[in-house]
Amino acid sequence: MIRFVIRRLLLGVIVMLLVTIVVFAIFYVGPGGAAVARRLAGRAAPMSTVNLIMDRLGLQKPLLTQYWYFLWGHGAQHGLMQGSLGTDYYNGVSVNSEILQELPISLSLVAGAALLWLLMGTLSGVISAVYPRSFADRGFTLLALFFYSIPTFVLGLLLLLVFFYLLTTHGVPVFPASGYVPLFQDPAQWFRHLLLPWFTLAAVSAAAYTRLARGSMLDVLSEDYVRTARSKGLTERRIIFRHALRAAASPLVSQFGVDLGGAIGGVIVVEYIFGLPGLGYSALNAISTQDLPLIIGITIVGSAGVILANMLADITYAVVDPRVRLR
Amino acid sequence: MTATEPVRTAPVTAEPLLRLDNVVKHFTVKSASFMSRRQDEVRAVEGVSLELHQGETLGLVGETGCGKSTLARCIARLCDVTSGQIEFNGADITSLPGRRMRPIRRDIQMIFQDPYGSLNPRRRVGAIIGDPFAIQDVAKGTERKARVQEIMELVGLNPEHYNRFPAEFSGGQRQRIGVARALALRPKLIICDEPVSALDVSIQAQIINLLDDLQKELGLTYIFISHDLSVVRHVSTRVAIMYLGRVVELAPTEPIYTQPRHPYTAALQSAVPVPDPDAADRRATTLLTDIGAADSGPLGGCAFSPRCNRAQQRCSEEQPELVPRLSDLATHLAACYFPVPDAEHSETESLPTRPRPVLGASQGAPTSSGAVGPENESTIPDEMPPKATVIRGQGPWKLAWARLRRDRAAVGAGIVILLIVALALGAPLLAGITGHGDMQQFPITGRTPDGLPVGPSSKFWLGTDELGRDLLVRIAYGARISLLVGVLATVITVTIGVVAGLMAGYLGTVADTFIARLVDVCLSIPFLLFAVSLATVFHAGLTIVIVVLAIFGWSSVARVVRGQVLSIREREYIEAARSLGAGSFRIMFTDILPNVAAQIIVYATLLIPISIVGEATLSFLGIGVQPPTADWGQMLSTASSMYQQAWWYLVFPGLALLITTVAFNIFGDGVRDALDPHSHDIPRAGAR
Repeated sequence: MIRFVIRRLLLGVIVMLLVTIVVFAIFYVGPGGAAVARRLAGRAAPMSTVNLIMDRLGLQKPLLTQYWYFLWGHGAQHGLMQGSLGTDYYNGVSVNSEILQELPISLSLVAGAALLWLLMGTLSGVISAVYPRSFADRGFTLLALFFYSIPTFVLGLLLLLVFFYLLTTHGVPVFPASGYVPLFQDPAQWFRHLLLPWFTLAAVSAAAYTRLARGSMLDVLSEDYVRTARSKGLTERRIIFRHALRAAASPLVSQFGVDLGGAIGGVIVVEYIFGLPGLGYSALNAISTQDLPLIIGITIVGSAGVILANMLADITYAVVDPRVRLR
Repeated sequence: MTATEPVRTAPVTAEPLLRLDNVVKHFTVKSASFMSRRQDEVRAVEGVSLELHQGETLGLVGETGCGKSTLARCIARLCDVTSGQIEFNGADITSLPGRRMRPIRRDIQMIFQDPYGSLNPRRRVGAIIGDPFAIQDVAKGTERKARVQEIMELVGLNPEHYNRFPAEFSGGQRQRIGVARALALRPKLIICDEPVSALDVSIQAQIINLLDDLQKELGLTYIFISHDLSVVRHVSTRVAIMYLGRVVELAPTEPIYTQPRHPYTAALQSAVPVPDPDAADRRATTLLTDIGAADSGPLGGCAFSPRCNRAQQRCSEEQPELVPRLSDLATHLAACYFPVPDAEHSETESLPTRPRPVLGASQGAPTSSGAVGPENESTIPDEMPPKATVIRGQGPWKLAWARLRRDRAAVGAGIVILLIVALALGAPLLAGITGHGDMQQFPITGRTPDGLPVGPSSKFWLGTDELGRDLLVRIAYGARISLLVGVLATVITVTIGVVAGLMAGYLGTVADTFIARLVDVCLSIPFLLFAVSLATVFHAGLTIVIVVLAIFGWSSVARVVRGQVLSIREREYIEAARSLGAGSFRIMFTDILPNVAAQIIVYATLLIPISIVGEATLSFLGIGVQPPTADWGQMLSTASSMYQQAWWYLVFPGLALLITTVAFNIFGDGVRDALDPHSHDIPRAGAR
């Protein structure tokens, strides 16, 4: 098991390295040092800033050296491996401080949504599988098809239209249109502001989980060991939750890693629609301001998040399903 | 005793057709662990030397895992030998590269064990038998067809069945197809790797008689691998007994059966079931014990010695050579220091020659080469299916189409998709009917005096947008972009994914690892962040949308295809293609691709809605299609800022998008059910 974890960690590090190469290639390769510096400086930056960037990042040097500086830094300029994501020249602050400020918002969005879709998806899938062809099964299947098909941003907009606009104009102001309240400032407000975003982000994945959990559970319930458990006289609840669900969970766990990665991307849409000033929101803003260092930083943090999520999913997978460790 | 056996002596020519000199094949088995570098070795073939002459049939007998199939694969150059030399027709072919080996493959063909596994289920019989011509570039077009049909007739198949799939034939007929494929190029040597063990007994007789006739007619040389001693006795002129990678006894057929010298051969003999219960009781049976020792013999000694009841000290110390023992002729070789003397064979010899069940028709009759004749004539028509029972088979695609047509939800979704396509194509027509063009603005009637859009009315069925343009016409034009991107991105994605998946699955570790890391990277950068990154550096637009969708879609296609390829690449029909000299490219695209086509089509239909949503999302965020082009995502983006004043602007494009994706998802589910009725990993949505 330890060997498996080490191997998985190593793989994660390699993939992260490859990601930095891709990011470097997108932003640094092509137009030449001066143009790259011009871009990184942001819109309407004075020539002095451009020259400063040129010098700091070694943009007049060969690409390999530039990549090394990008990765490790040189002189006073720290690189990625020293924990620095660079400087946001447009706003005149370090990218780290900006991201640290926005990260809690995005994290609470993703974590809450993940919890929500895991619960909704698994539960509805299990109910569907345990009572196949029942009214509940058909209902869940239809709902799953609907939420699986609807684009996240359409769902978000429709939720706003109904739950914010229609309710508020009819005198029931339950949901706010936008904004964020930190958890430690006012937990109730934090919850109120995040409820719609959570649901929006969770819907697509929840639908996928309903379908996956139903199929997987149906397979397991027809296995011989479930019949054995029944013949031993175990209660149906014990059979479903102790015997069947554990076996049916492994495809869900591996899917969870992929979905968590998808959700980190979906954060952009949800934050944009609900006006949550998180990482995704500022990445979108950075397009119009041409604030490249910030986008680079957010892309790298986002990718690291996905890689970490996949790593955790794989390790959980190995715990749930011991056969995986042998591969 | 020998009088009842057909005595067939090979015409001894000076030059042997095939000569094996000390052929060794070891497999290294890498330990699954990442840390340890320990490697195990499986010594499959341990120094086999043989000579085979034109017209001979060499029976190769041994238990499971003794290396007989590995030896065959070495001779056919399907795997490389570790050491030793293989000479064919006087030329050394031990390590010829693939390109130079190809012409020689014409002369060495294989017939495989499994008549189900050795024929590609997705290709027609004509294509399968025509493969040797295609690969060796011998005959083309109508000439190829004529020659294929000629061979089909030769092996007793109905040439009219040229266009059928293997699934439409019985086991025996399928094996005839395998024989026809091996014969197509008129080879000199045919290696039959357990050609009848998967067939039932009466069919075994038909195939063996067919092989027999063909040998006489075409002067073929056979290596006949089997674990069925009675079949081998019937077909072979000489027999080699293998044990743990070595030939332990090699002799003409009769002496092997009547005077086995090696204790292992004797033990095998005693295990052959005898149909007469009295004779079976009288017979002395040698039971081999210590099965565990069967995995590997002692180093340096006779591999059989741990299980041998005649073994002495010397046996575990020295490797006995394969030489004539006792008073045997020079053709009877055995590798044993303490061979079984004739006296101990009395029991075996006193048995009547058992009627061989394999020769269904000839039971009881004394078998001689003369008596085989008439029976053969009857077997070939036997296999021809009587006209009355011919079932008109349906191809897999036809069946899938029939299933899809019965699926009401899928048919309904299909109709909706057609309507959307009609809407997209008919957008200019719609503009003409309503009198409102795509870009046409209606300053007064299309907007309120405050400059806001007007709602649905008889003039503007679905209302107008912020510039006063008719929403219905805009939505129709938007359908064009959505469908275009949905199809175009899917085609590009699937193409890249299929090629990458085929390469990862078939070309081996290096390509696989490389593609696996590429997939990891593509799945690690969040899709929208990547799009944002590209949009800042390059210009936002349709190209970025398609590039981003392709980059994030191909990896899942590749994963599916790779998994399929891994399960297909070890099938016998791939081995068969390799033995015909097909290159990697041909195998990937001609032999493997048709077998993954169903999965690819399923995946592609389900990828279309994902692409459509992806495009709309990117355009919504301002990274995709730019105004003034009509696009659903971009329309919703504008609408999101004024939904409090103009709900229709948000609802109708959103509905258009939703209906499209739902229709494609239901249709995709239907296609999956139709093409792959066994899979229910993701249950069919849209309950009936």
